[in-house]
Amino acid sequence: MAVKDQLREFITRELLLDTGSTRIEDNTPLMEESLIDSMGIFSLASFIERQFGVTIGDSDMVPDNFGSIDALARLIDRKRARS
Amino acid sequence: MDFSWTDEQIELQRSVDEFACAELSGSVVESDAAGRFDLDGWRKCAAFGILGLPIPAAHGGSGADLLTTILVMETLGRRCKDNGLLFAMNAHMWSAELPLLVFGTEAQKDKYLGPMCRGEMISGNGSSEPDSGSDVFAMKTSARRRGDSYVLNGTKMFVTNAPMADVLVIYATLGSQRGIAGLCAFLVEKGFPGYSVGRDISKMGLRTSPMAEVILQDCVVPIENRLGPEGAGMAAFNCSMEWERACILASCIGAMERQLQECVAYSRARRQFGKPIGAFQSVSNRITDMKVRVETGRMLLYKIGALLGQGRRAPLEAAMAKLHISESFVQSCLDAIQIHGGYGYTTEFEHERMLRDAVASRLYSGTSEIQRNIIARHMGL
Repeated sequence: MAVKDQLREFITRELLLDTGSTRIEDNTPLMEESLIDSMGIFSLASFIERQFGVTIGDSDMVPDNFGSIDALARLIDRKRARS
Repeated sequence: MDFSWTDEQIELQRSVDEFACAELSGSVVESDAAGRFDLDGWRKCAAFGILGLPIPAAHGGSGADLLTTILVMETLGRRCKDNGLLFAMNAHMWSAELPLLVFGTEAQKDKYLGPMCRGEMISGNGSSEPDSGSDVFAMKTSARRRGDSYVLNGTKMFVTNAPMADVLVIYATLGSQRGIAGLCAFLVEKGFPGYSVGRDISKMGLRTSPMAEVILQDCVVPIENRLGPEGAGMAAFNCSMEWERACILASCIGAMERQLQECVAYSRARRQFGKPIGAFQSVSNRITDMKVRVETGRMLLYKIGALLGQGRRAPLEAAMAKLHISESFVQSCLDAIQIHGGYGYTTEFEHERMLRDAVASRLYSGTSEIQRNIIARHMGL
């Protein structure tokens, strides 16, 4: 499964506890629309570390990186390129 | 996980123990009654290097790892009876120094961290508001960009160290429509126009740790005092909370250990019905439970230290430790009072003050209810 689809599935199933009725686009603003909150962001960061083998620091968890699925995918790409 | 200490850590612990015995072990009965902050003790701790423990040497600290820092704060908690002083130091270190270290620019670190480590600059943070406590990100304090500045408006509640703080990390929102993406953190100095401190807030416990409201009325904050990028407020707050939950409780574990030792000594010396009261199972069982609480709390704490020290995050572990230790602290204080009987209820024996101080631990850095919510979320509930 592509990176963006894995992220989308995690957010939908694990953070929103949704079985599929919520459709999150690549550019849907995750924070502004409260799709991830202050607790969910930790779960999402842990998932990314586990799933993609990258390390997410405290200063990474800002809207520029966690604001949308597009932004998250770019963050993962950058992290992978550095490692 | 291996929690054995190195020779250097053991030596550091010994020197902290000696320092705290010599300088910080006096009675707190009078200062508690007067609600008086121990500025002299603060300066002594700063001179010893406590306030700069987790800060790298390049910024004026000693660069200790988290486990070492926990060991030091635990040792202080065991010897220093002034829980308010320890609380003020913890607020300074974890709610201001730490986010500044992680999110600050080099210029911000150069300007603030050195004086903060030396105790010359006192700090804290402003997050809670009159209408947002546990729901902290529902804050109303606003930040509006105006040229090279931000204009802050709002009121911050229960701000530890506010009456004597030189700089505070203030959280504000760029607009509720932006949700948590609009939260920002700012380094706000006491001399900034529009900044004022309200009346001191009288409290049940931790009375030697001053607390007040902070009012921001068209408070002008230069753009170079924004901490991290726009929207980094939640990350900065979460970061400081994770560390604070680990380290602020280290002092509590130390206090619980001292209280346990006092209860054991008292139960061996105090005789009723012809034998030491510790020979009665109703007493020894209480002390046994106190011992188990100290040890389990300590293990949870050391695990966080090990995880964060490895560069991993530990929000679940921090929530579990916070919940367990704070609830245990209160219960052990109640047990200590019960073991000491009428004496335990007196101010002179200091267990009643410990209980008043302990109750606060179930509230600050996230209530026990919020810790349970965090733990449940991590289990997918």
